[in-house]
This record gives sequence, C-alpha cells and structure tokens, in this order.
Amino acid sequence: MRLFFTISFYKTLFISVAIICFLFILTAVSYSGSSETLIKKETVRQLGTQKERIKVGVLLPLTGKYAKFGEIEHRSFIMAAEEINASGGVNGQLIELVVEDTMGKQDVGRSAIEKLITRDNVLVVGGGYSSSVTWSAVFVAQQQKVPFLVNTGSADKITEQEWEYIFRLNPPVSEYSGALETFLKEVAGDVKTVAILYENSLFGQSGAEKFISQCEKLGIDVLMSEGYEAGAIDFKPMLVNVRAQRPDMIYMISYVMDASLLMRQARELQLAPKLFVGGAAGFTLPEFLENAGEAAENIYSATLWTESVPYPGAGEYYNRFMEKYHIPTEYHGAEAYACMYVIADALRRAEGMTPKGVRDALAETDMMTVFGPVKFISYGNKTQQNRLPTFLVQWIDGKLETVWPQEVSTKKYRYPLQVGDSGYHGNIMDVFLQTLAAGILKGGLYGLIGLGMSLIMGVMGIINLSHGQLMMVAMYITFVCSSCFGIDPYFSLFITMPALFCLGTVIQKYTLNPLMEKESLLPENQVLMTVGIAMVLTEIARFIFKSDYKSVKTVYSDQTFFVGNVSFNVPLTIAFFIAVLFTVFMFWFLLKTDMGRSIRATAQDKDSALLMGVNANKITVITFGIGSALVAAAGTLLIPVYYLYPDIGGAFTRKAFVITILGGMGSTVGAILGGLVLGVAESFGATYIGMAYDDMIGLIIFLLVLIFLPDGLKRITKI
Amino acid sequence: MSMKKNFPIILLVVLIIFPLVFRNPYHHHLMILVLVWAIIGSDWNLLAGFTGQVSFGEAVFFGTGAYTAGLLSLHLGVSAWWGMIFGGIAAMVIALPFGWICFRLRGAYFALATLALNEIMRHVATNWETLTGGMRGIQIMQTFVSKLPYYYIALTLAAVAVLCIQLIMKSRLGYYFLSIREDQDAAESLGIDTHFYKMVSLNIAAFLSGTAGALYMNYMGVIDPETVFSLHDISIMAILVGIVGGVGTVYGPVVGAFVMVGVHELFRTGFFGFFDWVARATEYDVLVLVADYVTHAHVLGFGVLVVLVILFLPNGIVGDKENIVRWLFPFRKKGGAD
Repeated sequence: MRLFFTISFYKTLFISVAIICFLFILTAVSYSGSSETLIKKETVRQLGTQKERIKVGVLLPLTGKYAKFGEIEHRSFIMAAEEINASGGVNGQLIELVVEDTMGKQDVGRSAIEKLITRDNVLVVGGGYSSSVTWSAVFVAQQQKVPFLVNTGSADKITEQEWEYIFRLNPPVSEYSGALETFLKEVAGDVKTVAILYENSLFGQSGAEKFISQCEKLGIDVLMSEGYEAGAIDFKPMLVNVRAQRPDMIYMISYVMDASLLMRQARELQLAPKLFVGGAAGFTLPEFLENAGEAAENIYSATLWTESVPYPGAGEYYNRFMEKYHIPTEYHGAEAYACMYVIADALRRAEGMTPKGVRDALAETDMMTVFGPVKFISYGNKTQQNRLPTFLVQWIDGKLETVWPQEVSTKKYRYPLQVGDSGYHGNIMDVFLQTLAAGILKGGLYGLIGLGMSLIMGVMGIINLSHGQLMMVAMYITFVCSSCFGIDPYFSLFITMPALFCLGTVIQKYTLNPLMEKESLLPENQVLMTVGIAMVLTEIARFIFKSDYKSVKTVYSDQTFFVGNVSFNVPLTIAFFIAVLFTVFMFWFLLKTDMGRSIRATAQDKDSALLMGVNANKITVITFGIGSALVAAAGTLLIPVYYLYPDIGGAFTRKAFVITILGGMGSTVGAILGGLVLGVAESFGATYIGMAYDDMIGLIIFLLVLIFLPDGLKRITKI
Repeated sequence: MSMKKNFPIILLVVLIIFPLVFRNPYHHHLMILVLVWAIIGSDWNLLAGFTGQVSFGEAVFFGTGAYTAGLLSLHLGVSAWWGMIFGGIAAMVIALPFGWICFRLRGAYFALATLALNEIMRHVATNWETLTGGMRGIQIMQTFVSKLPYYYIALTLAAVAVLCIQLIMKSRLGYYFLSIREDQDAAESLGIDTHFYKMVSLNIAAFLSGTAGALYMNYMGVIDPETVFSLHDISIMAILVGIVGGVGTVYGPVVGAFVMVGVHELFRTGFFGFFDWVARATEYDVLVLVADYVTHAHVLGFGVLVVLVILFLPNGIVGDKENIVRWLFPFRKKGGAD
C-alpha cells in the first residue's frame, strides 16, 4: 500500500482533527450564545421565501479587541430587526441584515464596507464602533454615495466634513462631558484644578484635547495631561505624579480594564481628589465593578445612556435584552438598537428604494428612540449630527446610579468624595521611592517571564514569539480554576505549571522539532512557526472564552502594606519573592543536576552534546516544557492584580525577549536582573518622562544592549 | 520549459485584463491589496530570501513611505504621485541608520533588533503628535474616485519591483547577495564588502516598500500608526507572504500575496458567505451553527493554515512546487519532461 505521506504526517493530521473536534464540542457545550444561533435560525426561517428583502449593511467589530461591544451591538441590531420584521417589516418588506466584521482594524473595515456596498448592494449602512475604523469606512460610503448612519464612532471629525451621506446618531466625543460641565458649574464650583489621564488612541487623544478646551472655558486649571499605552500593568508612576500635583479633580478617558487598574492603584496610593470622573464607557461597565471592587465606589462617569433614562422603551429594551441573551446591555447596545429603528423609519419614508432615496429620508428623520430623540441637524462645524444631552452616573453602594441632571437622577449625588484621605500627598523623595518600589516589584514578575524564555532561547536558539500566549493560556486555566472550582491562584500554581509543561513539550515535539530536520533556506522558519502557534492559541482562547475581560479577584488582591510612605501591593510582593525563589531553584537545577547539565551542554553545542550521549531532542522538548512552566507561574501570579483577555499575550512576549537579551540568553540570574532593570527603567521613564514612553524606554535599552552588550548581563554574572 | 519562461508574461497579461473582465470594485480592491503585498513581500524576500537577513521590520519602511506621502500632501500640497517617489526616498533615508544599527548583528539578534525598531517607529508615530497627528492619523482626499487608476499604478509598481529583483538576482550584485546569505564570513574573506552590499540590498528593499506605502496612503486616504507600522499586520504578514509563497524565489512573494490575501478574506467572510448560503438553502440548522463558527473563528483558521504551511511546505509554494506536484499527481514518472 502506498502511503503518499509519512506516518508522522498522518499522525499529525489525526491529532489536529481530533483536537479541532474536541474544541468544537467544548465550545458547543459552553457556548452561551446558543440563543444567538437560535435567532439566526428564526431569521433564516422568516426569510424563507425569496421575497424582496431590503438589505441593510452593518459594520461592527465581531472579533478582535472590541469584540465584546461589537457583539452587544450586533445582538441589538438583530433584536431590533426581528421586532421590526415581526410587526410587518418596512411597508410589507422584510429587512435583511448583512453584517460584516471589521476586526477592529482600519484596512479590514475598508474591505468590509467595500464588500457591503459593491457586492452585497446594501441600501444603507449602520454601525461603526471604533472611531478610526469608522473614519476610514465613512470615506468610502461618501464616495460611493451610500448613506451611513454611524451609531458609536465618536471622533468629532466624522461629521465635520460636510459629507451629505454620513449621519451620526450618537454625540461626538467632545460633547460627552456636557453633563459634567453643568455639574461643575452648579454643584462642584470649588473644583479649580484638574489632572487628565487618557489612553493613547484616537478616542483618548481627541477626547482629552476637547476636554482641555472645555476646562479653559470653565476656568479650570489643567495641571497635567498625560497619555498612556493601554494595557499597562502599573500606573503607579503616573499616579504618584498626579498625587504630588494635588488636583481637585481627576478626569480619565480609559477603557474598562485600564480604568479599573487605575482606580485600584489610585486607592492603594491613597489618592484623594474631590472628584474622580471617567470620561468613557470604561467606568460604567459591570466588568469595571467586578475588577475594581471597592475602588469603584463614588466614581463619576459621563455616559450617554443608562436603562433608567426617561426615553420610552429604554427600560423595556434593557429587560428584553437581558431575558434573551442573559447578559446586560449598555449604551452601545442602545445606540445600535436605536440605529436600526431609525433606519427602518427612513426606509419607510424613502421615495424609491435607492441609496439616494434613503439618504434623503434619513435627513428628514424626527423621531424618538430608546436612545433619545433623533433629528439630524447642523450646528457649530458639524452637519447631520444628532444632538443629545449626556448624563452623569455614579457608583453608589455598588450600583450605578444616574445622578445628574437632577431631573432624571435615581439617587442623589455624593460630593465631595469620601475617599480615605490620609491628607498626605507626597514629596519628591516619595515619588522617587514609590517609583523605585513599583519598578522592583514589577521587575520580579518580568524576571520570571524572562527566565522561561531565556532558557528556551539559550538552549535552542529560537525566538519563541508565542511566549506571551503560553502565559495567557496559564492565566485562563487559573481563571477557570478560580471561577469554576474556587481554587485560589496560589494553589493553581500546582495545576498551571504542570499543564503548561505538558503543552510546551507537545509544541516542541510536534511542531518545532520536526522543523529542525527539514531542509529549508532559512532557519527562521522556527520563529514563524511560533508566530503561527501564538495566533492559534490566542484564537482558541477567544473561541472558548470570547473576548470578554475576565478578572480573578481574591481577598488580598488590593491589599497593600506601607514602608514609610511607600505603598507595596501584597500580591506583587509575593510574586517578587516567588520569582526570586524560582530563579534560585533554576540556578541550582542547571548547575547541580544531571538534567540541568545536559541542558547547558545542549545549549553550548548541540552536536558535541549528542556525541556525549545526550538525547538532544528530548532535552529540547523538556527545556521548552520548563520554560513554559515558568511563564505559567508568572501568569498565575499576575492575574490577581491584572486582568485577562485573549490578546494579552503579545505585549508580554515583547517584554520577555527584551529581558532575555538584557540578561543574556540562557542566564538565570541574568534574567531576573534583566527583569529588574527593565522594570525599574520603565517605572522611572513613566514617572519622569511620561507614561506613554515606558514601552519605548524598554525598546531603546533593548537596542543599546543588542549593539553594545550582545551577551547581556551574562558577562557580569557569568551564569 | 517554455511554460516556465512564458509564465510571467501570461501572468502580466492576465493581471492587465483582469479589472476589465471582473468589474466589481470589491474585487479590484482585493487585487490592489494583492499587488501591494506582492511588492512588500518581494522586498522582504530580497533582504531575507536572497541576502539572508530576516527582517521583522518591513513596516518601518512601509510606514515611513506612507507617512511621508501623506504629510507632504497634507502640509505642502505635494501631489500624491510625487509623494510616491519621496516616500521611497524617505524610506531609504531611514534605512541608513536602520542598517547601521541592525547589520552588526546576525541571525536571531538581527531579527529582534528589527522588531524593536519597528515598535519604536510605531511609538514615535503615535507620540509625536505635532508631526504625525498621533493616533488621529493622516487623512487626504483621494485623487481618483474609481479604483482602476490605482490598480494599474499598483500593477506597474509590482511589475517593476519583480522585474528589478529578477534582473538584480541574475547580475553580479545578485551573486554577492547570495554569497552573503550562504556564508557571510566566507564572502567577507573573499573580499566582498558585506556591510556595503547588505546596505544596498536594504536600500533597494526600503525604496520599494516605501513606494508601496505611499501608494497605500494615496489609495486608502487614511492611515494611522496602528495600521501602517503594525508589527503583526505588516511586518509579520510580509514574512508570511514570503514564506508561504517561496523564500528565495522571484515569483514566490507574488504567489504568496495571492494566497495570503485570498485566504484571509476567504476566512473572514466565511468563504464569501458560502456557509451562510448553504445554510439558508438547505435550512439545516447545524449548518447555521457551522457558518457562525467559521465567521468567528476565521483568524484561527488562518493561524492553523500558517502552522501547516510552515510544517509541510517550508520552502513555500513556489519553492516546494515539486513536492506539491508530486502530491497532486503521485503517479507521475520521476524525471519526466517539464
């Protein structure tokens, strides 16, 4: 019998098919969105007959980092469309939603809208979540003369171009703080200074800019305005600076997880302004409360909608959504829901089912929706923009209450805030010491991450670009242990480390080792394989867990202890000591045990080691396993003070190889020293240059080391 | 034999008449992307496949070209087409320090250094708001409404790029590159100034990438640091295009570009709505579930494909074409005429 391929090929094929089937079953079982596919079923049946259906395009991020909100909007669109179709559709015709995934990326969004307009021939497009993706998409819609009703993208310039085919349902970001303005004027008149913190995205940068000009108008002094890269672990360097400035108000434009870390760490530093205000959705979501816990108390947030707003149908929409999908909706969902109704209304009035006809009908819209009244007007430098009031909400006793304007409030606001005011704001020395402490603690964790990679790189010479993703897998395992079985993260260490060891060995054995035997032009194929593996791991995680942010909160997550005036976070400190412990252990392991010596031998010269009787292949497999186990420990230790979502791996991989090069490949002590150097450098960079640059500091140090000290700190430490 | 020689001409003819036969702008859009990736992939291939320097920093040149063209157009009103030349030149200028920093390193270290530079450029573009507008990016009005002019310009550029590379690799310069790839030290000892030739290779690659970036700027009309300096979407994609197509072959990146863009879009749209259509036509509920999964798991499918290709076709489609032929036609006699 002729086999067209080797046995190993068939083995791999079989295993991969088996794994895929297993995943399908797993997901089918855990897929809470089963009701969603039921909806699709219903819609499919409803659309059974080939009667003319009106095609409405919807542009949303269904995958990628915005997937969570994309899904809420998607479901709201579907819910609205079904309701409309169930009550007779549009003049007897049914609506068909053609949904395209933008993946949260501009170029994909561009392909998506091209497809909607030229291939699917939609009459009108709704949606538009992220500002930058929406921006590039409306460009196309305007060019091709197809009306686009934006319902979430909030960068001001979207409706400042005098494009007659673009309409916007939601207020632009510059108006988000409207309610805050009146609040400041009428209630918090004693607020004279503000510190602004914002994420470095289109949304954050433009929001901050607009807020600064509003403060100027109100006569409030902007003491500092600082951007940061989303996803930071440690905001203390930035917050310690803020504390030293003693602002009356702190205004933050952050996404949900940064928001929660900011609040937790602000609390740890005993930051006590008169007013904490969040300028974006980040501060109003349930995930924020879940991760921030007590730190969420009394935080204000500007928002566009809550379920208790006085618009007809708002509360019912909220309840229906909850019934149908078993998760709460929020203002993005309301925007999407309203958008669908506005589009349906325009379709009813349109003269002739053409894009131009729909466009003209949209321009005449004047109706009430669950999101508020909708009428597209021109004001200021904007055209075809809907104008809506905004609200202030506040977390009071663990519930989000609408507090301003008073006419619609559900509870009275609490002002000034009663955050534990130690009355202490810190001097220069404290800023320095806090920065140093933060850097050292962070550095310990970094060292652990780098330790694993250093070992792998030292022995095999491959750059493992999936290192961060392995960490992510460990974090998810910890999460499952914690939420399903109630196992504390520190005990989960005994589960995640062996689990990742196994995963690591499997990866090395079945994907990387075979590559070493294949003849190919470039040895760098291994690196690319790790890239592929990283992609696969991330997507599997997303498949199973969706893109939601998960948190593991423990009793000690936010505990701090003080040495003098410097606050130390307890879990991070424990992580630091465990990292040192592991380093010492690895040091001993590599030096004194047989296995360790074999590893070092393979690292030094694989062929000679083979000659000496070392089973080099087995060693590489074991080393990858050990490296994975170490990074698993890092992940498990990190999760109580951070958060989790599928894309978390990339940033840590980058840090890992900076540390590895810094410390010297294969050097254990070097890895922890490298981690410390990086942690401290980032901290100081963040405090004294600016939080946006902390990543850059690491990269520059990395380059300098590569050029001038290619063996890293190994030269100094010798091991 | 004649098939091999005529293949490029046939391809060119097909590409020229393509937009006239397939009128849908969506397909034009996809093809323009394919052509742009063919250029970027070929540049990467010149540096990596032929000169042996695997760079993770293609985005540096692409992004520089895009921003140069955009900024010139925005602030100085320079026509977009001059912007393309300047984009290429700006990328070459950036290539000088880039090479100076990176070429003193080899192998894995070189790759990491290029990766670091890529990230640094992205940070600079994001933070230097006064110059680049930060995350707001750059927006210019496009010169043409229809896609056809862009298509033909992209085609011209791609053809020029591939032709250049083909000519180079047949010339003495090409041999210098190959010798550096095979054994840099031996080449050096033979008197070849490896540093100089590596820089030459880099500059050519940078110029072409920069021009491609400028083209992208003109075509898309909007860019921002996340898009054009992206490590994952530009640099790593360039490498994938090169590897899947065939490292060290002239036409490999072209094939790779077709495959990668095609597969990416195929997966993203759930096989162009095939699953949805089947589900609707047959009304089997299971298929709706499958269609749903496929749409949500498209990146996963893409990742798995990458892993499989690297495992089984390490020299890419063009590089390993004998293997593919052997797999498809296992009964073919060995040593048969081409």
